[in-house]
Amino acid sequence: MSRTNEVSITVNGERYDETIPNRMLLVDFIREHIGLTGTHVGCTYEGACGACTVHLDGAAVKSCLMLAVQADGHDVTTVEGLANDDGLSPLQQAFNDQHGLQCGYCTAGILMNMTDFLREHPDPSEDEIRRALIGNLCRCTGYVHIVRAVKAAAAVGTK
Amino acid sequence: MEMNEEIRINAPRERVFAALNDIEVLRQSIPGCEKLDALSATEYEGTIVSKVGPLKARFTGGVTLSDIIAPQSYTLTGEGKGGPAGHARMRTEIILEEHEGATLMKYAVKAEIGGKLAQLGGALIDRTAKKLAGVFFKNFEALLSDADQTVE
Amino acid sequence: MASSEQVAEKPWLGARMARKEDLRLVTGKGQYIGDIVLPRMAHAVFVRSDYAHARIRSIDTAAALAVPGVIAVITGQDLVDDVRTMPQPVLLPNLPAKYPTFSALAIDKVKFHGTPVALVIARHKYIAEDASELVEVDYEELPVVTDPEAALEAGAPVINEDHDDNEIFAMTFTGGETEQEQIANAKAVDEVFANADVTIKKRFRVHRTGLTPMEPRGVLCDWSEADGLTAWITTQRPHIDRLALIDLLDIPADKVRVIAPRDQGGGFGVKAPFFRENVVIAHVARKLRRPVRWVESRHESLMNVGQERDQINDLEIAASNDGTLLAFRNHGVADNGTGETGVYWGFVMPFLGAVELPNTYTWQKADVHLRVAVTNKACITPSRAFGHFPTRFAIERAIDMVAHKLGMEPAEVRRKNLITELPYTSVTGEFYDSGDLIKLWDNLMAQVDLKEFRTEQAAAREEGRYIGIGYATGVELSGMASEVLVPMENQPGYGAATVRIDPRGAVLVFGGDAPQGQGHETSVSQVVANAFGTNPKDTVTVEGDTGTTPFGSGTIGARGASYFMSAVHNACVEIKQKICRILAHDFGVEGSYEDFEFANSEVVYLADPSLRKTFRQAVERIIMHPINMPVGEVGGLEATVYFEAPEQMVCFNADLCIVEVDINSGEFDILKWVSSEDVGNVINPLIVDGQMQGAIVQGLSNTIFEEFIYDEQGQQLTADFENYKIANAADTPNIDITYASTPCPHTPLGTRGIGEGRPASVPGALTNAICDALIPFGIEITELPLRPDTLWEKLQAARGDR
Repeated sequence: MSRTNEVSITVNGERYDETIPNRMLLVDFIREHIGLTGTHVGCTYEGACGACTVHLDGAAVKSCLMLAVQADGHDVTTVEGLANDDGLSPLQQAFNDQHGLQCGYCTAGILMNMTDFLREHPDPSEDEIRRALIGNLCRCTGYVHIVRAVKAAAAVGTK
Repeated sequence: MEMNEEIRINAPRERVFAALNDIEVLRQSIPGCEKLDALSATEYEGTIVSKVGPLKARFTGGVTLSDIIAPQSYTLTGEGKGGPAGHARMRTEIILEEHEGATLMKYAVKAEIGGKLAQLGGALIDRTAKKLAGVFFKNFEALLSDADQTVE
Repeated sequence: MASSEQVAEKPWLGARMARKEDLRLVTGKGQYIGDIVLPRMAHAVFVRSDYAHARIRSIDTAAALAVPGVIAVITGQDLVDDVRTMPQPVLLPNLPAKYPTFSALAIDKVKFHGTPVALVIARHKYIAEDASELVEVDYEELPVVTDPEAALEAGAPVINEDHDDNEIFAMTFTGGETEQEQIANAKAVDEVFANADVTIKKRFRVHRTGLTPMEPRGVLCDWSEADGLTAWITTQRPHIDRLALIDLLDIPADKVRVIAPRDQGGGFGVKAPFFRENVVIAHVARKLRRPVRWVESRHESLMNVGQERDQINDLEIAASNDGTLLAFRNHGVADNGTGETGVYWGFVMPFLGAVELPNTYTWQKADVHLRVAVTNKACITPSRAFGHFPTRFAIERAIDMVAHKLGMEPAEVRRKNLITELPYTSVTGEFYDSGDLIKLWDNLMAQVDLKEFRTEQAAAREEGRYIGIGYATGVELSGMASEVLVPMENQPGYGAATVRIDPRGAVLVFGGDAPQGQGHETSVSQVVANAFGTNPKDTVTVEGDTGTTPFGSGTIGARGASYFMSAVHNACVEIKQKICRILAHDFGVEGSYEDFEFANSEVVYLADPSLRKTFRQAVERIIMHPINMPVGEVGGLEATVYFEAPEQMVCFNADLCIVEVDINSGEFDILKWVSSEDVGNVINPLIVDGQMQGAIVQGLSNTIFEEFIYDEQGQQLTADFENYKIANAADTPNIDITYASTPCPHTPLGTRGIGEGRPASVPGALTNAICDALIPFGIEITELPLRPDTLWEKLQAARGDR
C-alpha cells in the first residue's frame, strides 16, 4: 500500500508494537487497526469537529490531524480509558446526570477535551467552558447541557 | 475568480509582445510547466503541475490566442483538467501599453473553477492565482533581460 | 436481578431521569455504522461528478482497476440489468409531481456537483480512495441552472429530460378543489385586501441550509445465498428502506433484512429519505458475495444531503387598524435541486412549508401558491423544521411589520390573533387537535417585564445602545396520522410496538422506528415502568432491526412520544389485562384490570391487598407454568400493538429573545432566549429540554452561520466545516425552556410528539428582536442568513438616509 514503519504506541495502558503504513492517521490506527471505536470522525480529517480528540501523553489532541507514526513511543488515552474500576469519571457521570449528550457521536471528543481542560482550569466560568469547547462541534444539544455538565464535574472536582 | 492586475516590464512593447508569443519563453516562464506544444500559431496545449493549498495536481489543457492586435493586445482563452483535483476555464485579456520606454501590461483574468479546487475557498484560490502570476512575470522578466544581455 | 428487587414507588412519567443510553456512549461503547466490521469486509468509495450539469461521454475505469487491492469498479452501466431505476412505488408520495427517472449511479448525465457516477471497491479504504481518483470520466458540459426562478422560465435548460420543464411540483392550497372555487377564493382574498386598513407586501428569502448530523451516512451490506441481503444503513426508517431494496433489487421479501445501527450520530430528517447509495452498496455486496461498507465522508455529506430551506416567499398581509390579521396571500418559489431522492423528492418539504403558513394565528382567508423548481443542485433533503423554516420566518417577520406599521406592540398583535378555539382547521386545511395558545403565550410573556424592558430600551438608546425584543410562535405536527401520512408519503402513520415479558421479569420492547439520539430507550423504560410499576432499569428496548421489530414508518416528524410511546403503553396495558385475568383466577376472585394495582414491582388485588404477587412471580407463573389456566387462556406474555390516534395531533411553542446590536459593526449579542412549550404530558423533561435547546440552536446556526453556496456553474463551494460553518459553544447563548402544557386528549398518556419542527420559530424571533432594536433606523430584515456584515450594510444605508 505504501511504505511502512514499526511503531510502539501505548493505548489506554496497553502497548501495541505494530507495523503500519506511514500514511496511516492516528485516528485510523485507534479505530481500525486496534479496534477502539469510541473515537469518532465527524469532519473530513480537518480538525474542525473534534470528535476524534484523544490524549497524547495526557494532553488533548485531534487524532485526525496526526499520523500514527508520530505517536510512536507515546501514551495515548482514548474515551475507553477514562472510566476506571471505581466507575465513570466525574465528567462522564456529569454528562449522564446533566443530559450532556444525545446521539453521543461527538461525546468522546468532548469528554477528552474537557478532561484535559478541567485539569488546567479546575474552576472555570461558563464563558471559559464555552470558549474551550470551540473545537468540538455538537449538533444535537445546543451545548446548554454540555456546559452544565462540565460545570457540574468541576464542582465535584473542586470539592 | 477574477483578477485585474498590472505590471511594469522593463522592455519595449514589441519585445514583450513577441516574447509572449514565443513558446520557449512561455515554457520557461509558466510555473510548473512540464510540457507546452504549439498546435498552430494561436493554439497551444500542454501540462502544468500546480499546487493549490493542499491539492497538488497535473493539469492538462489548451489555450487559444485570439483578438490579436500586435503589439497592443490579445485574448487568451483556455481550459485545463486536473483529474480528481478539478478543472478550470479562464479568459484573460491582455493589454500592453508603452510606458517611458518600458511596457505596462494590464491583464484581466476571469476563471471558472470546478471540482475540489473550487471548494478550497475563494481566498486561497485568489492568493494562489496572484502568486502564480507573480512567479510567471518574474521568470518572464528575467528571461527578457537575459535576452537583452545576449543581444547587447 | 431484574424486577424482583423492591423499588420505591416513583412516578416515572415526568421524571427527570438520566438516560440509559449514556453509559455505553460516554464510555466509547456505542455502535455506529463505522464501528461495525465483518470478516472480509471491502470498502467502497463513490466517484462523484465535479460538474453540475454534463453528459457523460465515457468512463475509464482501467487505471483504478489496476491498483493492487482494488476488487471492482462499477459504473451506472453495470446496474442496468440488476437494479431497477427509481422511482419505485414505495418511494413515491401520493402527490402529483413530475418525478424524475434515474439510475442510482448516473448513466447518461450528471445533474449536480456530486452526482455519483462510479463506485470503487477495495480491500482497504485508503486504496479505494486512491483508486477512486484514477477513474476518468469524460464530460460534455451542459448549461447550468442554479436559480429557481430562472429554472422556471420558458426556454430554461431542462434538467430532468423525461419532463418538459423544470417545474417538479406546483399547487394552490386554498379555496377548494376546483378551479372555479380557487378563483372565487382568490377574489374573496382580493376583496379583503381592498378593504383592509393596512397591508404589507414583502419578498422573503431564506438561503440553502439545513441539518448536518455529526455522523454522516453509511451503508454496510452482506449477502449470503441462504439469508439473502442484510443491510446496515444509517436510517430513520429501516422498514421503508427494506421495502425499497426489495423492489429495486427484485429480491424476495424473505431475503432482505435492514438494520439501523443501535447508535446513530444524529439524523434530524437527513437520514429519512431512501438514498441511491443504499441500493448501489446492496447490489455490489450481492454481486461480489462479500460484505461491502461505504462510510460517507463529511465532504460527500455536505455536497449531497442536509440541504434544505431555500425558498422565496412573496407574502402579503392584510390587517385592521386594531391589529386583527385578516388575510394573507403568498407566492412561493422553492429550489428543489435535482429531485433525485427517494420518498421526498425535494418538493414535499416546501409543500408542507406552504401548508403551515397560517401558523398559530386565525385568518379569515388566504391565497397560497407554490412552485417548486428543479435546479442543478443537490436535491433538498428533509431537515428538522421540514419545509416551514422559510415560511415561518416570513409570516413571523411580516406580523412584526404589521405591528410596526400600526404602532402596536408585536406581542399584542400576536396575542390578539392566536387561535383560541381548538380543535381548529387552518385556512390551508391543517388540523390542530388541542392545546392552549393563550396559556402558552402568557407563560412566555411572564418570563419578561415588557413595560420595564421598553423603559430600559429607551434609556439604552439615549446612551447609543440598541437592544430589542422579538418573538415568534410555532406549531408542529406531533407525528402524522395515517390520514395525513398516507396521502403525503404513501406510508402508514401508526406507531408500533411489541412488548415481551421475560420470565425473570425484565421487559423487552421492540419498536419499528430507529432513533438517532432521541433517548427512546430511556423514555420507553419510563413508560413501561409507569405501566407495570417496575423499575425503568428492567426494560430493554430494541429498535431498527426489520428482522425483529413490527413495521414502523420510522423516527420522523415527532412520532416518538405521540405514536411509538402510545403503542408501547397500550401493549403494556394488554399484557396487564392478561396478568389480571389469570391472577384473578389464581386468587379465586372476580376481577379484571381495574381491580388490580401494579406498583412497587408487585401486582395487588385492591379489594383484598393480602392477595398479591411480585411482578416477577406473576409473569413467571404465566410464562413458565401455564397450567391450571382460566378457560381460554394460554401462557406467555407478549403483545404487539399498533396505535393510531383518532385525530391529527400538534404541539405549540413560542420563543422570546432579547438582543443587543452594535450599530457600528452590525454585530449582535443574544442576551436572553426563553421558550414556552405546549407539549402535552412530558415523559422525561430532561430529554425534552435537550430536544428543544438543540433545535433552537440549530435554528440559530441556520439563521446566522450556515449557508450552502453554489457558484454560477453549480459548483458547491461549501463542502467542509471550514466553509460551511455550524455554530459552536461560544457562538450560542443559554436557552431557557419553560412549559405551559396541555395534556393531549388523543394519546393514552396525554403525550404529544415534540421537537421536529422546533427550529422554525427561531429565525423570526431573532430577526424580530434585531429589527426591534433598530426601529430608529427603520430596518426590516427580509433575507437570511443574518450576518453582521449584511446588517452593517443596512445600518450604513439607513444612517446615510437619515
